[in-house]
Amino acid sequence: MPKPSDLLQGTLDLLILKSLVREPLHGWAIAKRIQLLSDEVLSVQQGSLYPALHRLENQGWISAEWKSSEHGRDAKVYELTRDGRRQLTRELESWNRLSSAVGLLLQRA
Amino acid sequence: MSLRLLRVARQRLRALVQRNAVDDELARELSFHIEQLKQEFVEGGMPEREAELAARRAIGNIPLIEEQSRDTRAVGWLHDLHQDLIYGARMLRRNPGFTIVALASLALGIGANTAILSVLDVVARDQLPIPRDDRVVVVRTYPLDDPAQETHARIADYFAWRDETRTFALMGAAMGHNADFGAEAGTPAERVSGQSITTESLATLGVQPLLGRLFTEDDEAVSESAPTRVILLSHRLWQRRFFGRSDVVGQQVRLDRVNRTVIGVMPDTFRYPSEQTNYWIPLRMDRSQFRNPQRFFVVTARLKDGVTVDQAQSEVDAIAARLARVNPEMNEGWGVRVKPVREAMFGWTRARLYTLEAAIILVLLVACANVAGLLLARGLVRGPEIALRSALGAGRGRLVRQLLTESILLSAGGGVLGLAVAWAGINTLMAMNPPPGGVAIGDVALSLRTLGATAAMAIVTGLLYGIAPALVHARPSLTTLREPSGGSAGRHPRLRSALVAAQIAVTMVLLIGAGLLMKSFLRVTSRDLRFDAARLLTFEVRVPPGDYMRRRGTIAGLPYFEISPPPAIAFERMHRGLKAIPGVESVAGVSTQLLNSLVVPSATITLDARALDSNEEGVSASFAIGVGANASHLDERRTLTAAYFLVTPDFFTAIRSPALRAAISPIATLTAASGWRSSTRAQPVGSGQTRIRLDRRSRS
Repeated sequence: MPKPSDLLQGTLDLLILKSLVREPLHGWAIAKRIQLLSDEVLSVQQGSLYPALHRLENQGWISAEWKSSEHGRDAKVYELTRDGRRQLTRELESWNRLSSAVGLLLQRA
Repeated sequence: MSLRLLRVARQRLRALVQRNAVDDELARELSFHIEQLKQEFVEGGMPEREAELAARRAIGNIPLIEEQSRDTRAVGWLHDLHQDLIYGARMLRRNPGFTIVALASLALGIGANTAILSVLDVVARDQLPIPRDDRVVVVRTYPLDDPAQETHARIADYFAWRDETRTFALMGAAMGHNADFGAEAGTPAERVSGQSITTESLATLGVQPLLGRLFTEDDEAVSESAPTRVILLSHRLWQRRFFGRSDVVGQQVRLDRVNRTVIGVMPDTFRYPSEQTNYWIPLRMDRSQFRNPQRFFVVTARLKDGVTVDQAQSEVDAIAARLARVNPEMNEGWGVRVKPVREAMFGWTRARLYTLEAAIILVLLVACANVAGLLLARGLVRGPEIALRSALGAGRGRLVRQLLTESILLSAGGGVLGLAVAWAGINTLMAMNPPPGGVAIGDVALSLRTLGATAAMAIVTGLLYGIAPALVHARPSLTTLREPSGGSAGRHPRLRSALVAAQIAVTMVLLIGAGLLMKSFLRVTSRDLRFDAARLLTFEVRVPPGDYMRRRGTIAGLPYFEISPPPAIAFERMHRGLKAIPGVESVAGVSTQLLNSLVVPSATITLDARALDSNEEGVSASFAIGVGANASHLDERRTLTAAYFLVTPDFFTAIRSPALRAAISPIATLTAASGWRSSTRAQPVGSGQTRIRLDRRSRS
């Protein structure tokens, strides 16, 4: 069974980090943000967001804190750490390199 | 960066110790998410019940998410390990037959290895009480045509090395010495072995006495007949014979009927050159014996700082070459070898232990193959269980890990039992120690280092025998769920054959080795001695050499003594006394100890025709007794050279020699051949009767 996350493994991390650049968000809001930013083209299998969040947290790119949300319920809010910002820059660079290379390749082919 | 690592560490620690809290957080996050989704669907106009289901569908497989999220915490393996250990222990308990067989093979393999490693560890690092022992060397000579036969130095070698070399800071000599300690209050007379040793030798070894002082050059200058002779005692002799009294220093002891003053006691750790050394007396190197050809001086030296053993070696090589040119009859064909003292003392023991260790590693390998075979066979039974685990989502890696954990658990148990085996083995080895004449090994015990080696061995063996079965079994086929009998081992005949082949090969090597050992052992024990060794006791009687030997001068560098034999009456008295002891059947005397003598006097004998015709075989048989190397040789002139023993008449009865009884009459017919310059009549002690007549050529 091909895993849907195979394609998205690196990309999902990148999208999460990117969505956290402006402000700290909880999981639900991150999912919405990704959906919104991608004009609903990229639809993340919603559940797979959480293992990714936990992985990033475990790697120290993001930190988490329980805060009460706008609806009065406690939600775990994720925030980019300073190392996370650096990591985002690195990942963006490599993403750009990859996509421009692939784009170039496709044009020439 | 370090801040991030700190955060990562805290995160993992939390995942480890607050496992439930972390799981709980994820559940709360997910339920919040579902709640939000549902609300969104409801707002979109969906009925509540349908919205709930749609939200759950959208989020996916919750247990899978939980599992994936746990995996990201990177401490899962620890939890798995805990689980695998408990599970493994349960599996082992449930299969006592398998467990006992596997544990027994592993305990034997690991235990034997631990025992030998413990001994090797001590031998490799044994505490020589010699400061900077890497600078101390032993210089020996060897015949160039047989370089393995190392022997010690001649007196001329010693002086040449000492006077002509520049690489040694100090050089000294020692030689073996045996003496009778006279009886004192509370202690009987006894014969003990020691060393006579030069002041420089003690200085070379750099050892300090426990009590008293070492020799000085004044002690060395004292002649062997002066009343101020001195002796140093070993710690062991001091404890045994003088009960560790500190006032022993200054006391007089009688050594070979001569008084000596105890000037010091050496420390317990100083057992030079061997465990059997009980005392040290001064050795005076006398240039007057320059032509003495005997090589019995143990030469030790301390290298100058910055000088290597190789440099010293090339220097003594040059001297040996020069000596061979100047004085070929004495020195040609002899080489010199410089060896670090540790190697000189322990090299022999170590080589043997390495051989033993190699054999015992093979034993461990056989044990591994054995257990691997058992594990493979057990795969037949475990097939369904593994197929089920796999069906429930266990990956291959996870299955291999579980099976390997079980293997290592098993070998850890084997290791613990192996320690008991090792303990018993070490005690046995120590009981055999010291072998007569060998260098004794110090106290061997299970040390932390060897415990570490045992632990490592347990883990490595666990991996060694576990990996192949684990890889095989972790590739389950779902058919095994249906047919437990068509198991995985059936699918891997090649692996099983390889294991069996390896096991047989290694076992063959061991068997051949053991067979060869056994053969040489049997050759020693079952050699036809031609006498009945059962209930036969032997002991040696020595007379104080001072009473019966007079030094008359030197011939060709060798001291020349005049010997006056002890009176026959002394032996006769001893003979009567021994015979009177209850339980003694017969008592006999022989001039040279049976079987145990390297040098046996020999004589040339001419047979008369009658003896030759009647019982030629009997004659050779009678002379072959206990001689071994000096095999009789009968040439065409009807003479034979044979070793001989002077015996008392009841000797053959006492040793119960059937061959000799048959041979006695032809021996009695041997007659003196003409042409010998002198003849010695062997006079049997304690009786006037002569049974054997030997003619010996006297040498001028």
